[in-house]
Amino acid sequence: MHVSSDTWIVIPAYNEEKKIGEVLDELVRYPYHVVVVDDGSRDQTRQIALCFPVTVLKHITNLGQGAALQTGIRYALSFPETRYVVTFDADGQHSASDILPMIDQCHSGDYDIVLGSRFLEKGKVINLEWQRRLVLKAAILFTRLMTGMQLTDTHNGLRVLTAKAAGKLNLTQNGMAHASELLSQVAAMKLRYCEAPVTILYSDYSRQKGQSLWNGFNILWDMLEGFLR
Amino acid sequence: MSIHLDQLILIVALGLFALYVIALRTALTDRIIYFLLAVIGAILVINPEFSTRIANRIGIGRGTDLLLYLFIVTALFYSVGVTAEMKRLRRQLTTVIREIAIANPSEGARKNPKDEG
Repeated sequence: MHVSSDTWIVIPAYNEEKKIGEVLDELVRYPYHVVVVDDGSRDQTRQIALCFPVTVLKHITNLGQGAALQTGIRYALSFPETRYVVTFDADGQHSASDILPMIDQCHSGDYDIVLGSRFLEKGKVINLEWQRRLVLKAAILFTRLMTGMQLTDTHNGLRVLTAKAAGKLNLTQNGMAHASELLSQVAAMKLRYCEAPVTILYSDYSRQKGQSLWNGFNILWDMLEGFLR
Repeated sequence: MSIHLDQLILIVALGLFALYVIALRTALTDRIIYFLLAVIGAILVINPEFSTRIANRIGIGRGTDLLLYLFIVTALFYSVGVTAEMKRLRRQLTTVIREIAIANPSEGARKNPKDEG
């Protein structure tokens, strides 16, 4: 139905040579456009990505996942026929099969953005240790306070946006605070949003690469600095 | 617990400081404030009795304490300015790196070599 070349998958990647091949291998089986934003990787991420029928953009120096995402989104929107922009992680946590149901939900419900959630009833989370779960739950509460949005998962990198909504966003937080910034902008611009169940697979690899739990503190600090003129 | 005058002044000053940092800063106002701080500092150093008198008026111990508070305020003000400037620079750098990235896309291997010469 809506699986066509009007959909761009944006994948920010930094030093993901171990996983990017797997991730792209799964994704290129679908008729989506894929753009990998190599955020100044020092390893073979870019070279491996170029073995697949995808587009690779390169930040000449590392800026952060938020910056890489914004670059990829800008690129995807430079094509007038783009209708959906999907954000997707490079570390193998996400499942390509979750994308189409989200696009369908976006279309049929006339939403601006569909947010993946691992904690929804039908969502799944594999191998999540209790400390990380606790921090995620705290972030959910914090987001509820700051934006009024009732979400079950506020730090999920799998999202589907309409081209129009993606064009309205402007991520200025280069680092991990971009996830919170994105939600703040959705709330401020009163975009129509909903959540969709997705599977998040934690492996030893993604755990090691993933956010340190103390990063919550960093994110809070970044957001406070955001108030500084 | 009763509030002393110097505590009240401090609270109000902090409030104004926060308001300034969030909403009112411009390069010009920053420079005006630096100038005023420098002038006040110069006056207090040149005329120590003046600082002692003011200190006693508002409940602080000595003139040197007043000078110390002024120095603290100036240091905070300066670091706010530096942080804001770094933020601005980071934004500019991001713009440059982003433009370079978007202007130079690389295409990965396509299964269908129909485009090749």
